Amino acid sequence: MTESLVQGREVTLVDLVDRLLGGGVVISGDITLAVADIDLVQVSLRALVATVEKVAEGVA
Amino acid sequence: MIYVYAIGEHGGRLTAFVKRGVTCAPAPEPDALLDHDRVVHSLMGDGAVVPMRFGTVVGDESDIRSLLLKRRKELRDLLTHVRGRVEFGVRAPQVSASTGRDYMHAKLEVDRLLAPLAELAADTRVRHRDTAYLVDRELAAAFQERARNMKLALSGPWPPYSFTGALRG
Repeated sequence: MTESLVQGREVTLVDLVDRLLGGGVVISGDITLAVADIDLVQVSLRALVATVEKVAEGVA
Repeated sequence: MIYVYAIGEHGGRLTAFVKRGVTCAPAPEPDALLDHDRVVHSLMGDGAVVPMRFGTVVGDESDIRSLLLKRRKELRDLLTHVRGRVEFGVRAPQVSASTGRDYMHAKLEVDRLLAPLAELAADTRVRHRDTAYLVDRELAAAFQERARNMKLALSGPWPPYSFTGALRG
């Protein structure tokens, strides 16, 4: 077994890739979506939860 | 542009958890994947979340607002389904057989082997690489122990990546 990437959870890179690229909600339709494209400029995504902003309040 | 990690609730209202100021969708590299997973997993500590597919970027806030408004019923239902639950992945032994009949036998044998795990789960999804189980948090330790006793390769706990779906914007 490969060593876990995340403390306290059994997460290997291959499992991570498999779940993140094959899971999660996919939006289709009218929304303007950009799809991951390796040709584009590299973006550092080292967001901490503290920097995650909350937008878009819907109807409760 | 806005990167969308997940949809959840904040003060009882549907909320998108995002990062602003992103110039493009991220490439699926280890650091970016880990970032996405870490953020979604942390959010899950505060309440039910529906993870977005890695790399989901929208043009502006109005896009995500309109999605939440138009799809609030589906999103609420998804949140209800995953609330208080985590996902585990279990790799079952590979089924290989030369004939369709042998395959069906082997497949039934694997299902029988995995039944004790399915018993502990609220929902299951057969995936390409493994089977995903949605398990109540209170049963997570028992689930992990059972899988280990059965000598099955386990991953998780994960946010409910495999228990989402497609939404029309």
